[in-house]
Amino acid sequence: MSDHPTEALGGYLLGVLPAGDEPGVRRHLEDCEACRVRVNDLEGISELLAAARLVPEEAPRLAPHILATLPRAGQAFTLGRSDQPPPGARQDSTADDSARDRSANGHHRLRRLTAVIASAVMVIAAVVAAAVLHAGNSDKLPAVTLSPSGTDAVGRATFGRSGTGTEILLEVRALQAGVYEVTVDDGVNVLPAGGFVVDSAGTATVTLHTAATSGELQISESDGDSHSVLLRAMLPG
Amino acid sequence: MQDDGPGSSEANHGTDSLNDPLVADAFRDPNAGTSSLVRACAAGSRHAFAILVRRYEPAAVVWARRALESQESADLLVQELFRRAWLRAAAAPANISRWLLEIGFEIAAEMGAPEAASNRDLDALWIGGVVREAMGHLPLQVRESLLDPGSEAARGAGVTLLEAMEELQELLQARGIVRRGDS
Repeated sequence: MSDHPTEALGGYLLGVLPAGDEPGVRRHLEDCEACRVRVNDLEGISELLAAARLVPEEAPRLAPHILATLPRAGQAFTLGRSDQPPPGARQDSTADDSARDRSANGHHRLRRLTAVIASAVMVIAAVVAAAVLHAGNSDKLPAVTLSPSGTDAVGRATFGRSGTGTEILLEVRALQAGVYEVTVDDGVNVLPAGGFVVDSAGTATVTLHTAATSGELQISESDGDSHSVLLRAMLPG
Repeated sequence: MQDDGPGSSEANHGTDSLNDPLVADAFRDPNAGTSSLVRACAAGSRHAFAILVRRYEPAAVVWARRALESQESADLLVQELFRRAWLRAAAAPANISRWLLEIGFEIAAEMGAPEAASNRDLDALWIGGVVREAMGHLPLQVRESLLDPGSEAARGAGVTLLEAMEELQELLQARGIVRRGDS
């Protein structure tokens, strides 16, 4: 191994070898297959290093906020579908950058405030709905078994009428880990009812609300691409 | 480490504890293979997702800042990027880096920068950021010698540049940034 110019090979790869040393390294590489393989194997790393050197060091700043705002398993959340613009989405491409940023900030704050209020309303609605549904209030409708489609999952939905639509207590088992969205297809429109997260245990019990009062409840995987319905049930008329 | 994942909640609709082999694998080694992290995320592990966020956030921020030419808009984009990644984690492919970048392009387009997707410089900036973050886990002298190979630090690092590059290669392979035989 002492015949291999190990010290020089790295410098050769990274382009920092003194010019006078380069011909000797080249000649060695022509004759030595072991070194040639080693250098060839690292050429991609050399390119990645060149890219890395152009990037300023950046410490993670946003992770705590990102992680604190993720939907939790078994927890219902309001939908933020990929076809909706994110906070700060630019609507007017002719606006200048600073105006755009101020506008994005304003929109972001407004959306955040709206989201907080919506979340609070949703939590209160869920608590009230769960209490109403569990207490056997007169608005409670019979529980309906969910019909599976291409899944081993099972579950049931208990519905309750409210002044603004329908409260849904959803209990599912044996569902694959993932994020699911719930909608109601009333034959004319597909109305959102929120969503929920299922982790490796495969179960979720969530309370949701929809503006619909009739139609078919549909649970589908929210993977951003396909939306095939896995579980369904008719809302009691 | 206190488990604050879904399994610890009163509703207890699943597990995300260190007793879960997928999550435990991810925590046993700070340079855990990306594939085990991706599988754990797909199974709903917030812990595993947290590791991925910490790994990719710096690259995403640098990339988004260049794509949108604004720090504040970049921060918004990055938060939305990881929110969507979490919501789609069940469908995450093994090549998580490229998948995250594509989500980033999708959001950039929605934020008025559709040209970002065809900008090859942004591709290079992303991968450079990912490599730069990974390098933070190498010994200081090795890292400095790779970033500035002609320097005194490089000469006094105690390892040759070739060995330092091989150390980086091993790390990037473990993280799935480069495949074995690709580099």
